[in-house]
Amino acid sequence: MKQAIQRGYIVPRWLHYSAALPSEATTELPPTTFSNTTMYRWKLVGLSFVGNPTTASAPYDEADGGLGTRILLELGKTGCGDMNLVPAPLTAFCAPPGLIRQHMGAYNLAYDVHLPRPYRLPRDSGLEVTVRNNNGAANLPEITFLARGVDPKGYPVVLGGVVAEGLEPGNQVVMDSADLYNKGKTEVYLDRFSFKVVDDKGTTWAEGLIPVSYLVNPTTGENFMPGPTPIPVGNIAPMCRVYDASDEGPRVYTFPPNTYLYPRQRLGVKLTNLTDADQDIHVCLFGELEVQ
Amino acid sequence: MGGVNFLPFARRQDITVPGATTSPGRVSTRLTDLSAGGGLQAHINDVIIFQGTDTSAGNQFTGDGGDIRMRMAISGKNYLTENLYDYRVFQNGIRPQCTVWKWKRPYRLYPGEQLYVLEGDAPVSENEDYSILFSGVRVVDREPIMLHATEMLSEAPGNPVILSGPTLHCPHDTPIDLYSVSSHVWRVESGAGGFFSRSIQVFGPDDRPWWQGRTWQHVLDPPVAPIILDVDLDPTQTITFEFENHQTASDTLVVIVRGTIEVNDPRREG
Repeated sequence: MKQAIQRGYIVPRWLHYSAALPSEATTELPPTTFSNTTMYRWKLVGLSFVGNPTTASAPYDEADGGLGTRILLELGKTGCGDMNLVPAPLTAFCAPPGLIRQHMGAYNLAYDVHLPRPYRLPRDSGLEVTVRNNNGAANLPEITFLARGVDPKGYPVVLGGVVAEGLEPGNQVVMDSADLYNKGKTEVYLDRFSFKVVDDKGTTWAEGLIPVSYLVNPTTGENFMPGPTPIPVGNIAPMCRVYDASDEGPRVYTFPPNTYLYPRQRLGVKLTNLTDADQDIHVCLFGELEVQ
Repeated sequence: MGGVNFLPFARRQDITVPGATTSPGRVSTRLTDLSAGGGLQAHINDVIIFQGTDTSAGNQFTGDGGDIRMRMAISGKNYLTENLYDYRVFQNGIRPQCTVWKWKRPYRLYPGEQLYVLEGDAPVSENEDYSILFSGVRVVDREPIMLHATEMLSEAPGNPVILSGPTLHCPHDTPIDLYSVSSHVWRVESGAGGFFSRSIQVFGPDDRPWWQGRTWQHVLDPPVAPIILDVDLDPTQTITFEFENHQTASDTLVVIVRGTIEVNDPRREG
């Protein structure tokens, strides 16, 4: 493979964990959750947080991704100690969400994630996309995925997948892959993934964002999402918001430039739920695996 | 033999897609239709697609999405995808509260020249005052320059208004390069129903309109995020869109292609 004999390339990588946070208690995610089990260094980009609106109750606002305000975060890397000595609220840790306003309905936009560096997809390779409906009660209508980029001459490239018939609660399928392969004569460089439920005109984020989970992986080379469980869209694309209700989620902590997780190193995450109600939370680590 | 200037342009087409079928409506945009003529090469910046109709200036948007799918082909090559996908998934730009149309290559305005902005309808109240701002730099030293005009109830509602005057002149004795235009209607809110878009046309110093025909809404301030393409085309090349409507009712789509086109500029060195 041309890609394999190249000096190195970038593989976007997401690791996801779903935790139940008991009330008024501190929870440490299992040590293996965010560990670098590869032989390459992993440049960290962001750590995202999304609640679970299907179980959220007051004071968590379902429209906001179901995340309460009184959650404290502690981070640390093995061998380096704690990143923050005093637990800090997620709202203080995380960047303000990238609100995108548009006037044709607040929910009409796809949720986009822009890769910091493009992923090189060789010719005759493609993407395998699994999608799941996590909503316990409602059907999801048509679900779409697009990956975009350019060819070496700068000409636009689009890879697409769709589940036209929608998904029943709890179901998981692999997308129709007719358009998910690079059928061109050269490699292509992907830099953006877009996720969409076709008709999410609902009044809460719950109908459009959290219940849809994805696993996106290339058919060759290192996986993007090696975990077995599909990752909520809010975790994959946390900075894309089209709705500006009172906010707590999705949220993303952006790591300082050149923060790396080296092979066998792990990121420790401790979460303290200060409220008197239990809360579910989805945590996702995103970065670039620098494959040699 | 001089150089070239980069004239902003837009092409707009309204297309009705029949309902309850999978028979596609089709729209093709040809850059050779530009009224400017004499174009050398075009840079396509983005495409804006949304459902709705071309309402009169000041009308509000209440539209929402439906089951419209599309695919597109650029410059006469194959379609980018074989299947058709929800057209909204293609949107990859951002639409901030106050929209900005940026040009990859600048439009040069020379000393003594000015821009004219035509509003199709005067505002009906002070809540709808309109502002437009062209941003650029002075060529000689790259100092920032802004050309700005505002319309505040100077005409009876419904009358066309020309915005011109000293603030839209090249303000120096050396050329300026304009890189973007932004516009704002005073009463802009984020939700559906709060959106105002004025019908606008911009004329260059030679009275050449930037887009064909009449004043148009949504070219400067589209209601949705754009689909960024960033490709160079010859004037004979086309962009083709194919739509499918999976609803029972027919639907109207507005398709706007924006970019810059090279035109001969004898004053500029090649």
